[in-house]
Amino acid sequence: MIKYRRELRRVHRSFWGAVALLILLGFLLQNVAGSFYYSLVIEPITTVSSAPVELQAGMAGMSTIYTNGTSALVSLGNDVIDYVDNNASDVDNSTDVGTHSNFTAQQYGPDLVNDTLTEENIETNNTLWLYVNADDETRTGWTRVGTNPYLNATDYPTNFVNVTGMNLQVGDFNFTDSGKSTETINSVEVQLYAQQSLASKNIEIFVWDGSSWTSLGIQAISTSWDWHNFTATTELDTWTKIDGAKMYIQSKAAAGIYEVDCARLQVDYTRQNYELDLEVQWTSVDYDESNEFLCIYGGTMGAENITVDVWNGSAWENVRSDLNSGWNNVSVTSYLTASNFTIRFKGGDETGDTTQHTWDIDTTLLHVWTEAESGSGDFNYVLNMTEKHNSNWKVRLKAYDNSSLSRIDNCYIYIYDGSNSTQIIILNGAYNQQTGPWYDLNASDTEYIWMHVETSGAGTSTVYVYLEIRVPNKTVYARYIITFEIN
Amino acid sequence: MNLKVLPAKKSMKFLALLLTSLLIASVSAAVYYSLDMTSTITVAANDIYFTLGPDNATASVSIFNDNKSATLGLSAYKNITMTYDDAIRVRNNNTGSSHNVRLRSVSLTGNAANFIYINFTLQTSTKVSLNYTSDGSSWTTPSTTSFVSLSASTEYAIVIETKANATATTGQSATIEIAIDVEL
Repeated sequence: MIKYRRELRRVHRSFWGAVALLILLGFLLQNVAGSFYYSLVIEPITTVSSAPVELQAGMAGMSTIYTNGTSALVSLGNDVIDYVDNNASDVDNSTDVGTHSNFTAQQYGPDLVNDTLTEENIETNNTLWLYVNADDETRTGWTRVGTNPYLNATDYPTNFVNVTGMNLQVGDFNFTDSGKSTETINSVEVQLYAQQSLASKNIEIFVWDGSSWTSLGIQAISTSWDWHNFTATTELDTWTKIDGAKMYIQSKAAAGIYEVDCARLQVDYTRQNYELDLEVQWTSVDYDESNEFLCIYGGTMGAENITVDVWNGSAWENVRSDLNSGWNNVSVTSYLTASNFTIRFKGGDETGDTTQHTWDIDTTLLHVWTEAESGSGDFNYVLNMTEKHNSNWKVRLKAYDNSSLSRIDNCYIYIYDGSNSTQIIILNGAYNQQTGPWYDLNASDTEYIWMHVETSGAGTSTVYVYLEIRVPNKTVYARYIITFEIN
Repeated sequence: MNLKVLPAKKSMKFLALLLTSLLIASVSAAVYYSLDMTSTITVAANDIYFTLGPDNATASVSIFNDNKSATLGLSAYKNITMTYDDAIRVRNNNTGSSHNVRLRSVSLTGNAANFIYINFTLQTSTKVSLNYTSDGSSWTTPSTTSFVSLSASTEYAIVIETKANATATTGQSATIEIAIDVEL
């Protein structure tokens, strides 16, 4: 039995080895068999050659020719959006007043990113004279000449008061209201236009501040007519007190004659005045289009008006009395006559404006355009094509892409050389004919492309066209790309 | 070895016999297939070859070597796509069998600065292309295509598109060698 088992093991090992070897060999043979092939060989030599046809700009529209006449952009009409270029101009030799928070924001959008214009406080010192406007005649120690209020003007001897005697009073005199409330009071003086027949004779002034009488002191009066000042800055330190002020006069000498012709309050004050005067400017502007609009997109607008002026070369002319949130469009055709164009933003209240206002300007731009259908709508000719290889060809136009076709009511593109070949037709926003018939372009010949276009609505439509140039009776052809941009 | 004298079970003997039979059968089939392939090559060599398309003169097509080799003279215009729709064709002349072919790039010489692309497309139902493109300084050589079928008794055009760089020098050229591998 033991011997038998040994023989069996030996048989099994050789058997499994053979199985593995033959399986591997079988797969190998199959792989080799599957990769058999033979080859044809083709060897093209491609040589750079000059183009058989050269595109050239025509006489209508605006054509841009690229790469030695191998492609073209034809623009019919023009439509330009030109954002404001800078805020550094000073055409009026007047320094800007106010600030931009972010001028760059005006040069993009509208995108809800604003340039906030803020008024600047321009303080001014001013003097105000408030003349006597009433005499309640409660103090009767002096003689009154003329008519009440007697001291409201320097009109001696028509209206005045006089007296001889000591400690005699005349009054009480009221003054004209100032109409002020927020200005800063720097100084207040009671001024008398008076004279005394004798030298070194004093007079005393009392002032009412709304609650009590206060002496402003004693001064000698000149022997000829002159103004005499009594300081009341402390007593009349508010506009309320100034507007409610009263005064009476008291003689301080028994000898001589006191004469007072006029009395007034002189108020020196500082006025706050928030102003805005900011120039912005375009350079290299397209200024020869049929339609030229200044377009400003406003954000949050201050309560005060913000005006917009245009520089006409020598002075500012107002084109907007205020700006609203959203678009504010105004024609500037009559002003846009040169490549530089300047406007300014100016506050609506530039005198006595005590409140600082701000205005958000999102975008400032010029939109200038000329419609394609201006005039007859015919563009003769937008392009020429000239044969250069002294060979005969067949040519045609084939529209292969477009954008905003819907605004084109009527567009015909022709090839013309004595007779018209209608190549592409667009009617009511859709192609009526997208590929033209083949047309002969003979050796050294020049043919023309012309168009008739009618559009509806503003915008730009683009038609991308192949100019296909074919060897007659062959299917060998070259494709030039022509882009028609219809504004 | 005498199997009869082996003390193994009957099922073991049967299994061994079955495996041995399968092995012999499969090895025999592979060997037979390999031999048969030799004769197939001879037949296919006559089936697939080049023919002239109607645009052959424009593309200066010359076919030789028993219609197994061809040369072409093509033009490339600056900034313009030039298309040769039907200059040369590949024909399967077998009336009963289709054949599989593929396009394979063999070699390319020529200054890449002068070209934008040179493209070869075999117009089979599933189109295959070799598109040689240039970035202005170097060529990108295309990979070998997959195999596509040529139906019996049918010709297929090779469409060629060329485009030279806008700054190309007139007269400069590129030479490309392409193999059309015919599967056996």
